[in-house]
Amino acid sequence: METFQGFPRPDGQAGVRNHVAVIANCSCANGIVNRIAGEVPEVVPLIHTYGCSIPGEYDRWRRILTGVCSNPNIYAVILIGVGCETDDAREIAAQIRERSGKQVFARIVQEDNGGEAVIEACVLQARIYVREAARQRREAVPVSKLVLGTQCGGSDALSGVTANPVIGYASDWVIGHGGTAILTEVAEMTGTEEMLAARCVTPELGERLKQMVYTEEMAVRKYLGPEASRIIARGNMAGGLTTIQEKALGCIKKGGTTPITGLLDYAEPVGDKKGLVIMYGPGYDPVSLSGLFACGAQVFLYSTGRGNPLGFPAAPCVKICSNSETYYKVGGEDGDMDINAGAIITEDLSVEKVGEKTVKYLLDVCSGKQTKPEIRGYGGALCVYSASQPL
Amino acid sequence: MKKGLLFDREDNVGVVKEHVEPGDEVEIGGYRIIARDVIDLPHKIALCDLEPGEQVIKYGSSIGYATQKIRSGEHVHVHNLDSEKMMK
Repeated sequence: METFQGFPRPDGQAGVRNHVAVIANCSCANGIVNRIAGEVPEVVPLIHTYGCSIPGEYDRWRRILTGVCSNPNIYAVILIGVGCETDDAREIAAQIRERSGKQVFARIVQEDNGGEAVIEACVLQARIYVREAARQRREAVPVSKLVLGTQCGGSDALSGVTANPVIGYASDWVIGHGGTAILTEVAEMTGTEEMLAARCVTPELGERLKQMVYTEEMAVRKYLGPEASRIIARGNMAGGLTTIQEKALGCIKKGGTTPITGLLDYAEPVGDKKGLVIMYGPGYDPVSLSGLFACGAQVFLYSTGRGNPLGFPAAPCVKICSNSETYYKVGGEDGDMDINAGAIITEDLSVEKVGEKTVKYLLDVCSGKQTKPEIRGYGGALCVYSASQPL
Repeated sequence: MKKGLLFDREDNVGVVKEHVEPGDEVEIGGYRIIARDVIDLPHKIALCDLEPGEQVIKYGSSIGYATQKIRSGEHVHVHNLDSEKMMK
C-alpha cells in the first residue's frame, strides 16, 4: 500500500501539515489576527476581506470559514469574532468542533473585554496549541486519504502540453491508489463540456456538469461581450494561447483520464468522495485555491507557464513550470519553481517520466518536504470572491 | 531543420519548439512546412492552407475558426483566429 507520513485527525482525515490557524470571523478583526501572529510566529494567520454585510452570501461564507478551519492540515484554530458582524463566531466554532473534532478557541472582541484582552488570551492559547502540535509525530497514512487540488495559473501554450498532462498523470496516480483529485476553474472548461460530460459516471452528472460550464460561459459573455472568446489574460496570449477553447483543452488535462465521479460547489466538503471531482469555482488562482482548501484538499499541484509565484498559507503548493525558459528566468533550481516540466520539450523526456518524478516529489511534500512557495513565504492571503457588492 | 510539435493527427496547426524565421523549414509530426512568419516557442504554425471560417484544430478539437485566409507556414494567433465560443 502506498503511504505518506501525515497527521491523522479525529474525523478520520489526515493532514500533510500541522498548522495552528488564526482567523477572523469578520475582516474587521484582521489587525488582531496580525498582532497574535506577531507574538506567536509559529501560527498561520489567515487574512481575508470577508465576513459581514454581504446579504445573500452568509451561508456561503460560513461554508468557506468552517471548511477552511476543518481542513486536516490545521491542528487547531484560534477564531476571532468582532461581535457586531453578521454571523456568530461561537456558533461557527461549535460547528467546526462538531465537524472535525478539532480544538477551536473562540474569542469575541466586543464581549470579551476588547482587543487587548482578546489578544492576551489568544496568544496564551496559541502557545499551548503550538506546543501540542510540535509534539505530534507523523504516521504512515494511505494515499487513499489524499485530496489533491489541481490548479493552473499564468498558462502558456505549453501548459497544456507539458505541465498540465504531468498533473493529470499525478491525478490518475492518486486516484489509482484510492485517493481524490479535484479539477476546477470552470470558465476554463468552456468548449470541453461534451468531452467532460462523456467522462461522468452517470448521464445525470454529465448533464449537471454541462449546465455548470454553460452557465459560466453565459456569465462571462454577459460581462465581456465580444471579447469573451479571449477571456484569457494578457500573459496567456503572449504565451501563444489564442482562444478560450485552446486554453480549456489544455486546462482539463490536469484532470487526467479517469471517470468524473462528482461535482462540488465552491468550498463544499469533499467528504468521502473518491476519484476525480469537479469543484465549481473561478479561474482566478488565489480564490480557487481557497475553495479547494475549504473542500478538504491538503496539497496542490499548480502549473504555470509564465512563472506565477503564488502559494497558499496553510497547504503546500507544488509549482510545476511548463517551459524551461521561464523555469530558468524565475531562478532555476534555486528559484520559484519546484519542477520543470519544460524538460519534456528541451530534454525530450516523456510526460510519464516527469509524471513519475512529480508523484515522488508530491509524496515527499505530503511527508513534510517544503515546497518553493513555503520556503519563500509566498503563501499570501485567504482570497475568496464575492458575487455581490458589500452593503 | 527546425522542429515543432503535433498533438493529434487531426490537427491543422502545430507548435514550434524553437524560434523560426520566414523561409525556415520546420518538421512537425511528419509535415515539412516552410515558415512564412517569425514565430516563437510555443506559438502556433499553420500546417496547411485554411479558408476564412474554417475550423482550426489543435489537440484533435476545434479551438476556433480562421478569421481570414491562413496559408501554410503562417503564424496562427489573435490576428487570424477567433472563437465562436462566447461570441455574440
